[in-house]
Amino acid sequence: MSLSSLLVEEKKAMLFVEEARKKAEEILKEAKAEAERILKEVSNEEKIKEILEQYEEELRREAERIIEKYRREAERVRSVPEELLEKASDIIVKEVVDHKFRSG
Amino acid sequence: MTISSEAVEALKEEIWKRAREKADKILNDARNEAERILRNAKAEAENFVKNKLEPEKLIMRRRIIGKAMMDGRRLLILTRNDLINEVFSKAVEKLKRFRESEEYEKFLVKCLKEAVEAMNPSDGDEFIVYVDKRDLELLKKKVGEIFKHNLKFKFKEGSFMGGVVVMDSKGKRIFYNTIESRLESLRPLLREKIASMLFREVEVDGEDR
Repeated sequence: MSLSSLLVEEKKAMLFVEEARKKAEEILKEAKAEAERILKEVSNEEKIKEILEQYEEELRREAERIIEKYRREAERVRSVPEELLEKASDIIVKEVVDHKFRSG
Repeated sequence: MTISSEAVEALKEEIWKRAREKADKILNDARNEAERILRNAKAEAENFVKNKLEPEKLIMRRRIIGKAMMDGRRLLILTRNDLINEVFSKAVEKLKRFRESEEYEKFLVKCLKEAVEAMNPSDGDEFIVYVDKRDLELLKKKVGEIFKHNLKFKFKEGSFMGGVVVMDSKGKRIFYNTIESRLESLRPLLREKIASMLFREVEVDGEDR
């Protein structure tokens, strides 16, 4: 063992640190590229158009569900039993005949 | 100068310890910085989406969902209106047949009395009474028994389901008391009453299902 072996070891350690530095640069490079991709994706007009088209599709499906709900409600309203309609018309007749008007 | 092998080993270990520490710090710093870069990019992207896409999405939602809600409500209102109109049509048919019932005579007298009394009559006042031709003779016969005051009546033929229209002799005041006019006067109130009757009961049925 001698001083020269220490120098060799020192050199190896420096290379090890240098490797880490290169790896760090790679990590930063990838992060910057990913950041750029994220920003590019949201500011890309085509992408925006695509997002809005997808959203519009979702809204149209939601709108159809809403209309369908109202259609079902309308069907339910139409299913009033005939007797109830007769009863309601009898009430009108009774009101028209019995109502007292105070003045013209 | 000679160094003992133990000392050399210790020095080597020290060299590698420092190198590892340095390398770890470099990598940790790089990872932290990478995280910061990505965090910033995501925040910036979110901001962009919020400022650019969200307003457009909101406008789109209002347009599409708003229209669906409006169309749906219109459909429901039209359906309810159709049903209420059907009830009114049935009532009109029944009112047309009402004149054939025993109560009609009493009703006709009531219509005339109500109309004349609304004009605060005094002795000698003259009134023109429009009445459907089917009721003309009946009313002429009955009119003498109806009023306490000494009133004069001229009868004219009208054309309506039943009831009367009474006008003072100067034509200044007129009281419509026909079945049609009574129905029209009461229509707004009756619509509400019928709607609450029909649709409340339907809803109760719906809840039971």
